Amino acid sequence: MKIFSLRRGFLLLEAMLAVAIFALAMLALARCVQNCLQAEKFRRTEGLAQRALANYFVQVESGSIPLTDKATEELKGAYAGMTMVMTKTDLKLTNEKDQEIFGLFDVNLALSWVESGDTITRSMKFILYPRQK
Amino acid sequence: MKPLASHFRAAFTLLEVALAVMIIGLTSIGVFGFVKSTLRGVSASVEDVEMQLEVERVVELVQEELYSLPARGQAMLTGKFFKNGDTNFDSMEWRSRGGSGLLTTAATGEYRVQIRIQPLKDDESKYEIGFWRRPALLDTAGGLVQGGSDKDETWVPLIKGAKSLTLRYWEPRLGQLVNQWQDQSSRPTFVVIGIEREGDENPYEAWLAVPSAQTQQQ
Repeated sequence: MKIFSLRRGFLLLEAMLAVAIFALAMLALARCVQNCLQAEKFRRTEGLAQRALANYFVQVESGSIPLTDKATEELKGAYAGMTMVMTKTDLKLTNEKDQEIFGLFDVNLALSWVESGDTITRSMKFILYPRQK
Repeated sequence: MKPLASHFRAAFTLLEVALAVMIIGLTSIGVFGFVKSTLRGVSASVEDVEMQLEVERVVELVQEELYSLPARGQAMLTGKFFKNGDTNFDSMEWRSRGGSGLLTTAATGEYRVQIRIQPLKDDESKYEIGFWRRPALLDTAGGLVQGGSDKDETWVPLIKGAKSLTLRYWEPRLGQLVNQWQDQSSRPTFVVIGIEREGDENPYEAWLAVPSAQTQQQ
């Protein structure tokens, strides 16, 4: 009779521990996959944002978008969900003769969008001398 | 009579071993599937980046050419429809004297270069984007002279698996984008180029400045 009692199986606690370790490993793997997918999505959105900023810069530089103190625009098409905020400040610069240089502006483009609940902003700053009409 | 201890040192039963092997097998299949899908994801991502770079490189080439356009000169930049069969495709043409536009520094004289989309010769259901080049001015001992014909044209395919190419031109006098640019004496302020490849969610769109247009307007 004693022989049978010694051939015991796993305890419930041991089995639960094994299952818990396995579940943790699976969770870590799932997290890994999720991170990979998120990184890929982030890379795409970053590329899109850079293009949106570059395209907007060309439009501002060429004068097709009028330069104002502050303008906000909801972008459309491939850039849907992104908001562009343009701000302009006068640049107070002087030349080598200490004369004031007029007509130069410091322009800031700030593009923001919401990703996974967080607002992400990318910006671009440049000096502009608007085309005289 | 067998010693009592040998009965207690029981090995795993066949069922236990089979169960263990099955669990290891299932886990291995799961891990293999995960590794495989990750590798596939990485490969798709690399492919996507390469395709993107290919498109960006072509767009940069066009931008370089637009930057190099001289401020003076007739028909330095035109945008018209290129007819292939019954279909009209967007195309843009400029003058180039070797370098990036011609994709060679060995060419002499001046060339007409077009960016356009056209069907593949061996499969008309597929398209490619490339540069069409044709001599316009020949380099002779006496200087540049008019010459060259469509017989001397060459085609450089740059983007395979293209779906569409759109070209729009900013007309500053109208304050809007137009589909064609036929004014030979002036330039658009900028050109909007859209390239879509098979499988793309959205076309790649870039706004390319034409600096010589600003010079002309001043």
